[in-house]
Amino acid sequence: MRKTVFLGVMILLGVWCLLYVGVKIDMWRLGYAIEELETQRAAFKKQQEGLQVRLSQLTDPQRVAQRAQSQLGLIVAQEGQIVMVSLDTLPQFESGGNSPVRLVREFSDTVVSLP
Amino acid sequence: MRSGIVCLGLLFGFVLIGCRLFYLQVLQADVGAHQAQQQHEKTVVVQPDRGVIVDRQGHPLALNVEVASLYVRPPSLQDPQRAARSLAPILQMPVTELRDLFTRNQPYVWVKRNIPEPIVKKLEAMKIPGLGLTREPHRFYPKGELVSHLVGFAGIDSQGLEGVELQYESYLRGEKNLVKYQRDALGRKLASPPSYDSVPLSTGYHLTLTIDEVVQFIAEAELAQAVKRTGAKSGSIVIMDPLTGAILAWALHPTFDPNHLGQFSTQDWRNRAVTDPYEPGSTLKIVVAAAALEEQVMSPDTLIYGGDGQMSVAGTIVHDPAKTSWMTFSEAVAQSSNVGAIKVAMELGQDRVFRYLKAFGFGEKTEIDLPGESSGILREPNKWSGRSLSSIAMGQEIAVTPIQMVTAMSVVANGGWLMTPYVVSSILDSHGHAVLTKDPQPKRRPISLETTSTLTRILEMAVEAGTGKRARLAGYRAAGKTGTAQKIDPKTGAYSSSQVIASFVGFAPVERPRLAMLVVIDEPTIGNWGGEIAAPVFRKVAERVLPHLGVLPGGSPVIRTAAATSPISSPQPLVQ
Repeated sequence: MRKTVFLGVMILLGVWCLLYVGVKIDMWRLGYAIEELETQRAAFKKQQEGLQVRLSQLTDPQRVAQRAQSQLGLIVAQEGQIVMVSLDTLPQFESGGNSPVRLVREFSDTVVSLP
Repeated sequence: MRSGIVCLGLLFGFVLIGCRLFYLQVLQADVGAHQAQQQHEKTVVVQPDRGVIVDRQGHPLALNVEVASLYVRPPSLQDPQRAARSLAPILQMPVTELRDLFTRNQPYVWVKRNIPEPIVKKLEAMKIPGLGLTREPHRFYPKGELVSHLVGFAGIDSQGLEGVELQYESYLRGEKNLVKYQRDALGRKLASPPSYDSVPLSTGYHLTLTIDEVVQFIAEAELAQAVKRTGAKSGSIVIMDPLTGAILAWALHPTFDPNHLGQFSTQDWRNRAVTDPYEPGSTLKIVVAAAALEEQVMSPDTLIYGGDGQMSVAGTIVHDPAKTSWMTFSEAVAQSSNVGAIKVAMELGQDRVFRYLKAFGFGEKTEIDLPGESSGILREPNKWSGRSLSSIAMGQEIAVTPIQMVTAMSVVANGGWLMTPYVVSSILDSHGHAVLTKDPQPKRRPISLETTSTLTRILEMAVEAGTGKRARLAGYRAAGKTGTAQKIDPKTGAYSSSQVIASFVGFAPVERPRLAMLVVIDEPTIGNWGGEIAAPVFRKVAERVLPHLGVLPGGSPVIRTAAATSPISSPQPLVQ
């Protein structure tokens, strides 16, 4: 009887040791995995920052204006070439104050000559 | 017997081991723990990210990027001469300079910082023992020259040196942190409980400016064109929301790119709109006119004798462009009559003129949140000469900064309040929570609402039928005043007949002003009148900016645009 109890205790102790070591090993393994993910996260953050910089450069009004003029041939509208239309006053846009603003350029052969 | 000896030997051995263990584990426990901690723990200095600067719509104006920098540990470098020779063409540095750096009696020396990526790749491939690359944060301005004078710039160690970068250094900088972590036998970082890091990372606060990127771009583009067209030396445009004092645009020309400071003269860096006072000329007549109306010395219809366009003052003759005999007070202001302004100033007397100049903020700092502000020049009346009153009435013998002038014009636009101008509307922490939000700060009320209404009508007349006709807007009512100030010729010490500062200050729309604007063109070579040079710039900028701010021409209802719905762009009038 005493021998059986002793054996049981020893087995339990052995199992506990195995579990303890196993959990510890898992902890270290997970720790490394976490660190790897942290490294990836930092790399993605840097990539995001880089993209943000690129986005800021691409949306720079100076650059947009320059490309609009040089590549698309757009020009700054002159006096009399812009007609502002409040969409609230138009029947099909009577949805309230959230109507978008639209700048309507009046292209008249007699007034405007686009390149 | 023999086994007894063996047992004794073993016992002795165990006792020795036990004693040693007791010594190491108990007596030397602290030393051992310290050594273990040193092996397992690593402490690193983490440089905080400098706060980001954005415009009122959230468009970034100053960001951080990581750049590579090359360092050398001279004691570890085996052949400095050879290393210098091989690196010189890559780094584009003289061999002698590199050799000096490599032979310094220091443990760690910077060789070159902020190295472009293609060069970094070459350096990484070389693998010279003693030389190393490290990544460090670097300030980057994605919009280049746009609003560079106001944003300023940070130095190589990310410390603010000019503009908002300098003014808000304590907020933007953040704090360096010492971060501890555990590492394994191979030096790899081990995951630690969240509480293990000794100090939480403290990044810099982010700034939201009152500047509108689009308004700024329009102002800069029109200013650059005007300076080029007139062959002027320089120019500036400051646009303010007159109801709040928030600065919408801050354009100076010549400008500079803070990413490439070395390519520009230090003179180009100067934030001249706050640092450099100038003689305003006739734009100052606004203050004299306001004082005369407020003190009821004049009414719009009061007749003034124009002396057929000339008047003798302290032995010198002052001329008007037109030979007018009689004119009303309104006409005198609208036509920018020097004779009229002098006579009005004489009616007021020097004490009252001085008092109103001070009340409008001249001779003192506006307290704008930018560094290096000048108070301008306004002498006490007891230091005035016999000619000073008439000179000041014409905008001479006084020097003002552009920000003072546009702030003074805002007094007329907003119902009489002198506002404190500001460029930063809010400060946010790294989580986006507001640390500080700025509200409009009225300083004082120099003139009444009634006076501003009367003066606005007169200044509208100046635009409709006076010297500022070229500032007339299509579809909007505008009010303003032209100014042409002769500059002092440094050779003769007298006023130059060819070198002038042409300016225009005004606001629009008259019914509910959304912008007050000053245009200054310094030393134009083609034309030299404010009404001819600066007024058209006001018109071009205002006609493009007002729709962007959601103000339709022709009295159409105000419409929704991104700029119009911005929190600080829809202020409440301060009229009591």
